[in-house]
Amino acid sequence: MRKTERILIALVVIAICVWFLFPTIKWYGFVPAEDKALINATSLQVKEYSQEQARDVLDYLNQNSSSEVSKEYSFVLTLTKEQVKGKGSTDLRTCADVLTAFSASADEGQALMEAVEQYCRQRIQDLKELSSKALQLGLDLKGGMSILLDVDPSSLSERLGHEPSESEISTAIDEDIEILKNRIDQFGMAEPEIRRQGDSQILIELAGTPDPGRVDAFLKGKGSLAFHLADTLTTQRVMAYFEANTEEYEKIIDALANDLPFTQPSVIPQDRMLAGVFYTDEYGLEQLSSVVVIYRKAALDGGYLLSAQTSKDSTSNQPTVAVKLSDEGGSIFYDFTKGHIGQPLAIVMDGHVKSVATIRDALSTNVQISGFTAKEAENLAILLKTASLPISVTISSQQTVGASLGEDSVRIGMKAIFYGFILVVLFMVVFYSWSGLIADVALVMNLVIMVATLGGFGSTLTLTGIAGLILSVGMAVDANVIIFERIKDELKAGTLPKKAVSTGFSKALWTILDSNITTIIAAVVLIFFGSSAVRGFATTLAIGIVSSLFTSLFLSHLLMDLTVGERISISWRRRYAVNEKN
Amino acid sequence: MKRIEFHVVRRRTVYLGIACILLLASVALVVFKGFNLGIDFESGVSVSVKIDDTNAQIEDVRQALSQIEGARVQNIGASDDGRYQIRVKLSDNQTQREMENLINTMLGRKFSSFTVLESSFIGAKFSSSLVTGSLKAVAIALALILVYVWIRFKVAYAIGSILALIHDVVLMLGFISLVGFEISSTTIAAILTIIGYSLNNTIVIFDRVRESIKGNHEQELSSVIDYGVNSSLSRTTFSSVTTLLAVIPLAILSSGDVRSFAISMIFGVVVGTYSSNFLATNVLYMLGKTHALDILKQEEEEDLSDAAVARRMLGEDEPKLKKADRNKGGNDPKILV
Repeated sequence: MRKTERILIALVVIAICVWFLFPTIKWYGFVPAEDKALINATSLQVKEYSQEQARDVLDYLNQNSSSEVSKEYSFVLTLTKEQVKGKGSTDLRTCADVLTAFSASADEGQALMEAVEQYCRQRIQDLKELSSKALQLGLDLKGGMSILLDVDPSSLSERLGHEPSESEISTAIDEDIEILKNRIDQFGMAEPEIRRQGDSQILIELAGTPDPGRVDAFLKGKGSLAFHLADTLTTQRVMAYFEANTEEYEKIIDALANDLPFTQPSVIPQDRMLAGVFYTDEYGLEQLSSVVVIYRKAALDGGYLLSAQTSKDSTSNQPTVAVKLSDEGGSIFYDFTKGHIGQPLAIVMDGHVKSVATIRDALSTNVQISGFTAKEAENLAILLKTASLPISVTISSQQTVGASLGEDSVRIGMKAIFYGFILVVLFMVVFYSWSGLIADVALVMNLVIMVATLGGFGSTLTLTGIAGLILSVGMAVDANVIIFERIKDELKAGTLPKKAVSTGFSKALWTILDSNITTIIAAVVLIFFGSSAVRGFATTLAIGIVSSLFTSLFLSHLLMDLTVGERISISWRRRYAVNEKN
Repeated sequence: MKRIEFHVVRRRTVYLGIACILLLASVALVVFKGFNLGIDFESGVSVSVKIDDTNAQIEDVRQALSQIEGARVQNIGASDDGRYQIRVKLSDNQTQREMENLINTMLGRKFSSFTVLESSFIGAKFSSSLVTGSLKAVAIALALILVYVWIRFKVAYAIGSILALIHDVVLMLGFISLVGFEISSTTIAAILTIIGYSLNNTIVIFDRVRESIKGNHEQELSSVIDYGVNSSLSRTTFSSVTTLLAVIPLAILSSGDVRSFAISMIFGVVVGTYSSNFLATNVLYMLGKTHALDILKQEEEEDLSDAAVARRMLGEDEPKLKKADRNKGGNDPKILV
């Protein structure tokens, strides 16, 4: 009975590991290279790509309307089946069938194109999700993205109130670098490389394929959230004015959409200004939807914000942000909202109006705001945790970079590690015969557990991480060796095989625990206090020790119990059998 | 087959002497020769080039630059673009211009046609605060290990294992200084790995020593320690050999940073094995011999049962201890310490 339980536990662990290992296997084994490249795309590129695909599909269908849909476009058939589901025949073969199903002649293929766009978007989204679940290789082993930032000294002179000297700029850049490091850390990107380049640039390299939208958010995002009173009456007046002056209107809209400076229309009083209301489209791009006049002076600015938390509105299911204000901010906000009940309040982030809501009640320190996507809400929460940059930055260039250790040496290194592993596996069999094979099974399982756990946590594996991996594989081998030596000692003393196995394991237990616990103490300390490179090492080591304890003390034990009966095969030199000594 | 026996304690002057000489040599190397800090720690130059020869591989670029010490080469853009980034630190009194010219000449010897796309000064990756932060983390980790070993064993064991670790780290630093490997995140990883490896080794040997003390109250401390080392000798050998099997192919086949990582690891495994077997054990012996810290006499606290003593030292509660007791299953199942 106990044995079945143990087998069950072992199987459950293996099943869980395979589950978590699956995305990694799928990503590296079954996703073609051109698909992998897709996840690098920025939201804008995704949009262009999807629209181009849609146009492509439409052109193809129109040109070959009488023939069958070729394999390359077979996904269109799937889309069409969805479209006609429950209404009409599902026997679709030709391009003409597809066009009819979407009634393309009526809307010039609009519905079809939207469906294709939606499909492409979803596919890239799925790829991104898959890659985030697979074990990623770090900057040193695989490369990533290199982003060059230009600093803008004028933002510093605004803050200082005078023209900054060279050393002031230099100090500010150093501060920027520290804050950016902190932010990247908060965003959970592994072992970035941040350096100063030249006199006024910052070079950032991130592992893998970080979502460009997110990178943009944390690099540039000032996280400045402010509440401004909106002026409905003036907004109406401005709109009327624009109807008469379409040229000026277009110029201003263009400037607003691209964050360019513009002259405020003359109808707006000095203390107010025109601002753009933005929404985020399905590609994650911010789009200007309308304009609104707000008061220049913020009712409350970001300085009073303590933290932000994301949640979902229970009625509309839209993501909302719960903002916590400081006590001082709370009392200012309370007085303000109390005096302006019924008036519209604009929520402005980094110069963009995110939403306009009517003040219904006096609000204090806890404020719920809407108009954000889930990601924006998350980004805001993180940005609020870190200080704002003393000197603002703009992205000057962005490109992919190869492994910083060099693709060639990584390739050879990986091969060498593989050979080394094979040598260890053979060595165990050579010295411990069939029991060595059990140790090897435990060893492979150890590796599976480690990769699955690292993948499941969304970690990034770097060379330092591999060092931790080698150490923990070494310790797993060692644990098995300690156990086998103990079993051999027992056998030499004349103990029967079954008894020798159980005594061997119990004698080795505390030796293995002591040596592993001391190491895990070190690993945990390094995870909490170490820098990013050291942390990568410590994380794999900590995971490795836990899994090596499981594989050696539990899995090996189980396998030994299952295989050892009257005889035991633990050495080639001498067969320990029943009653050999007697 | 004749069993190899080490007279660890009798030969302690030799073993400790070797350790001391190596320690002094390492300290001297670190002080006088210093470290070769890599581009991770120092500022340098980053040059992007485009090589027009479509057959050129990253290996070729690396080879062309092999005379420039510590040059890092990586691809930019798609791998068949022929664009490479070269990063190299500046040595003393070398200007950015001189380094650019040097790279130019080196590449010119190998490739007929290439263009320098961009060249700029770059700062260090690690700030000094990061290094001190990591050192602090290592110090905290060592302190906690000391406490754990103290609780599970005795203070003499804790001191022995920590001294062995310090020995390993100092020797590895000395070695890295001697061969002139660059200090980078990879070398740090190698040192951390050896700390873990050596600690594991020491604990296993100490565990045997402790077990032997439990079983034989009458024996000399020296023979008990010799027994600890010799009875775990085959395990020690196996573990060292398997670890070496894993890193030797890496040292032979790889190049650059990965190779210096592997070579440092090999050195560290040897040093770590030495310190666990001969240094930690002798520190334990000397601390025990001076009677400043009793190792042998823990059973003499008359009024309590051994199990109770053990319980107090472990800080464990009753049922847990019983389980541990059962697990031990040795000759003298009552004594845990």
